[in-house]
Amino acid sequence: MAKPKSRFAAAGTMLSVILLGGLLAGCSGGGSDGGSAASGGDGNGSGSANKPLTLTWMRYEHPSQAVVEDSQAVQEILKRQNVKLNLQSVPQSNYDDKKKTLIATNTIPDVMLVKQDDIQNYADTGVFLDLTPYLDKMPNFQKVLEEHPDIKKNYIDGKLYGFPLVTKWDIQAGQIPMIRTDLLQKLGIPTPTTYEELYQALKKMKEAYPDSYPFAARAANGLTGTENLINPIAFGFGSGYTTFNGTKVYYDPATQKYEFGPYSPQFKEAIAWLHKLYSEKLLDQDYTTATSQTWQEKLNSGKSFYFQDNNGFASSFNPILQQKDPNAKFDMIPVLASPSGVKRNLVYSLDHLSESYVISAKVKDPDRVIQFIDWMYGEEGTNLTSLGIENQDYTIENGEYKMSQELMDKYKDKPSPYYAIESALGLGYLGLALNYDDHPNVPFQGEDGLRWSETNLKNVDAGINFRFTNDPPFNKEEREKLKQLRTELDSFITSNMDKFIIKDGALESDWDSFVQQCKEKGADELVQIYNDALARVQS
Amino acid sequence: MVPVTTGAAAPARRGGQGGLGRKLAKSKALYLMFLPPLLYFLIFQYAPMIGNLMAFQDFSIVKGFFHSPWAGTKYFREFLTDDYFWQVVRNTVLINVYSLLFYFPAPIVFALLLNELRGRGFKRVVQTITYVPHFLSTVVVAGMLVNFLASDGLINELRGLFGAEPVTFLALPEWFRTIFISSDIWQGLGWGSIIYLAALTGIDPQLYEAATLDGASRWKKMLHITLPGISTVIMVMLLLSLGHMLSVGFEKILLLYSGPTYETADVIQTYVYRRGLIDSDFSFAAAVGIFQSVLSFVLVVSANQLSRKLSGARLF
Amino acid sequence: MTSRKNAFDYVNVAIMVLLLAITLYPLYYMGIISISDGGAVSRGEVLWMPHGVNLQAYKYVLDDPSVLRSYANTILYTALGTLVSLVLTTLCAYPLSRRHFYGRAGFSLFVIFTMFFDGGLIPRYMVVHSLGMIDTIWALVVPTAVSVFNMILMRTFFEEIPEALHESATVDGAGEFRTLLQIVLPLSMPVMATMFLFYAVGQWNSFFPALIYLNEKSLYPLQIILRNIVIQGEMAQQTTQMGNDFASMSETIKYAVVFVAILPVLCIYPFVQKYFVQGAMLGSVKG
Repeated sequence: MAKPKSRFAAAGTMLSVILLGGLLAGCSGGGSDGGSAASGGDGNGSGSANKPLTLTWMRYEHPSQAVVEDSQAVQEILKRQNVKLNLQSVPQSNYDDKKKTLIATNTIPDVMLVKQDDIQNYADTGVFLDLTPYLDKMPNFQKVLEEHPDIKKNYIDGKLYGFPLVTKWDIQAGQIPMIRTDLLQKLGIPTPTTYEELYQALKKMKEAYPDSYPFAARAANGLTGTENLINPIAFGFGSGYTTFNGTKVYYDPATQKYEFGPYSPQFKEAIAWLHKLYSEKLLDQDYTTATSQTWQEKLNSGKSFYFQDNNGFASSFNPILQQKDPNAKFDMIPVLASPSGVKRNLVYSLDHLSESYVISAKVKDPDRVIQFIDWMYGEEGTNLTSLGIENQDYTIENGEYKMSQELMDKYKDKPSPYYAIESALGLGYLGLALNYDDHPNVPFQGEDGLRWSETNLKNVDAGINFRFTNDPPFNKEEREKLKQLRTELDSFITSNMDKFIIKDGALESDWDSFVQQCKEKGADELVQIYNDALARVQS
Repeated sequence: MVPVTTGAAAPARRGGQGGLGRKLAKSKALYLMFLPPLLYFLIFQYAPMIGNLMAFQDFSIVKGFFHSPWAGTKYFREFLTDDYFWQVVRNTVLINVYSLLFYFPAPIVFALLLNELRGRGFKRVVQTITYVPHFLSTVVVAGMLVNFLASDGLINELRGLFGAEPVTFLALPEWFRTIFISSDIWQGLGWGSIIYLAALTGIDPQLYEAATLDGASRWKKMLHITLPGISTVIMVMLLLSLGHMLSVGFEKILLLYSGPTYETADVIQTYVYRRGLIDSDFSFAAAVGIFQSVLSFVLVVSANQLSRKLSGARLF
Repeated sequence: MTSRKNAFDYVNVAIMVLLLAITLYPLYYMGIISISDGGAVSRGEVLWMPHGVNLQAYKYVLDDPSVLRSYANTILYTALGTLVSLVLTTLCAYPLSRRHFYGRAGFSLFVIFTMFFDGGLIPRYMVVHSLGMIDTIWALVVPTAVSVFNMILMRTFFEEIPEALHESATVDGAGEFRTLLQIVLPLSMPVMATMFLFYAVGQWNSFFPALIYLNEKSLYPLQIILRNIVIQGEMAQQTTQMGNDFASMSETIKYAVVFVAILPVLCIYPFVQKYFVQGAMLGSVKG
């Protein structure tokens, strides 16, 4: 009965109002923020006892270690520091999407774990609190800065926006040559000391086991299978391939500069060596799509006998192999010498400087938050979030860490006791620690694992092992340029590199034109940008 | 056709706008009905579309949409002049063309065959089992594919029984499309047939009876009764598929491709994704998104007009 | 109708059996791995038969309290989401299916346009945020309520209903709402059942809206929790430590997760099947 036209008018007005509301919300960049702001601890004028400081704290959750909202660490932090942490955890697999949405809409929680890339991209938007003015009030963090000078690379235009995750002590692992030493013995092969001898050894293994593919590789740490394969080999030959995040330049400790791998003859040698292995079926023929899973399967089942990747894995391979063959054993062999006499290995950086906690610029009591963070970097905070409660979870005897028996017994039936402990107590790099001491891992490492770690550390000091380094900070123009250069160059190099390893004859016929095209696509510029940025940090 | 009653007398008195008023009056209940969905689309689809302005700007969050400096067509220029970009466009379109040729008809054929099955129990079993693969996440399916297609995987082992040499399928560009589409068919066959099965129920059984009396064979029945009976649904599904010509489910490709297969496997979405990894770039991704949307839209509109003329089935 | 079987029938059955085999083997493969011993699986020994049968993987998945809680959440979200979606989609599809709906072509274009042009994640987030829906169930159910694809299909089916039926309803004095409820819907059971299935499954499998719009872990649906577990095998081991048993179990856990996730959905289909009844419109047009 009502006239349709007036209904329209009503509907129309309603719609415009809603639309307008949405637009206004968008214009102002989002109204109230998603997390509760930190409430002040002074209780100014309220006259009552100090209210706890409440912080929304977001980090990603690794599937191996659940983030428990009221873990021991969280409870203790409330008791000792009067800070209440509201933990928000997001599955790591999709953390990037969530992060970006929150940052882009300016609704980030009080404290949030981000990557250095995020800081670089969004620092100038003002979403993150500039930490630089607060640094002189942070004695513990100052010490950390001195002990980990690479943190300087996190500064953007002289300002610091994030508190990085540093490591006080950790097992040192790297991309070290690991081989089935039991088979070396069984087949009477001498331990290889050069890459040439390694090739011979793998060949003999293939003869004894024709169905095997002795050398296995995988995609890992955000790098493709190809990149992860070439990196340690090229480095071992005296050159290098990518940075930790996949940019096709590498930092050469010999020249102390960034270089473009394919320009050097040693790089070509490394590729030739890989090609030789591939064509003689000594290298896994599916390495380009190999996942961590398939890689482990090959090494666990006796299909492959050698890898030059995270040596820590051997600790999990050996027990599985020994279920079938009690003599089977992966062990470390000393660094291999390249044809030109270079002897060096790539190992992982212990710190996680590319990951930092940022503080929202909208946080209500920055001074108190800063003070709390500083405590987290100090001895008490470090121990609580790395080891637990002294004399309950651990003891220090003669300067040595020892995990308490009760703790070990409590979790020994879980599939992974180590992670169960870290999760329940809120410990570690995957938990609440900003300064991380991984001694709790020692009881679970086995003596081989510890021995390898010690060897690796010794070799770092001896100048044989070199750690991956982080990128220097870039300014805006450089980042624009990098985007363009990398988009062009990366796809080109990636699709070609496998060609040289897989296809017979490709290396001889196409290498030179490949290098030429790299030049044309801006490889020189890429290196230049990196070196300029590096020089700025070092000055 | 026109109903006899319904207020034929009253509108005449409204004067000049008699025709329009009458039409609106007839539809008034429908407008009321349509209001909630209309609101939905306005709020959750059209309001965000303002976000597409990002493609034309250097997006800066704190400044918000309306204040970020305009960067003109910078991003469009960047990818439209990149040779490699056109290669990924070509790959995207090719994969979709093959998809149309093989993946699109498969559920239809399957539905028709299912329809002809005699045993009802067996039919139920087949239906229930074949629609399970749809529920497996891409990650799981890709993982299995990598496993089965490895040099020492199941497929190569089976081939070995016939004396064939192992082939590294996933490293060969010429195999990529086949693998990709076959796995799509495996996953989508059962699920995709559901809509056609529903359409089949709408065919008047009397038509079949009449045809039997005329002595028609099963094949003839399928050709002249069944297929035409579901032809509208088929056409609509086809038009909807055309809307996807410029995008391909990129998660699966991301998990299956690698350097050697870039030349056939790299599609628009993976290209944008890698760009996003290098440096978060909302505007770039938004610009490419607009490119895809515009082309898809044009494609579907043209196909729609064509379909209207030829068969009467249309989207709008 | 004759029930004489001919060559075609046998070929048909043969094809179906082949399809079953191809479909079943991977599912079977995942099943036997999920109940096998982790070590054996890591060595690649499990191909046709399970080895060292145990239910450890399932125990691990179901012991996790967040898995059970998210299961409950998802059931709620699916029920509510499917209801909202069905209602909204029907209210959209029905008017668009009526030929005398004034402005029909324009509205159709208005709706279909949204299939091609999407505002994007960030703007939509801001709309949802400004409506106060963040961290509520509404954020999971409303923004994705209408799938234009589904709507178009529903509309197509509605259009197949003969105009004569509408006319006779009008003659009886029914308005559009009553026609919809008492005539059109009962005749459209097959497509409504299909839409129910599509939306329910869509909601069950959805994880992205939850990821973006929810911050409270206790509100998370199943897929978020499970995806993380499944992907761990791919992302794993960027650090050195991995409890030994755990590393070998990751594949078995992955597949246990798959079965835990799809089991309820498998049960829906038999319910839905009975609506696929032939000749639903028979008899309604006569006379």
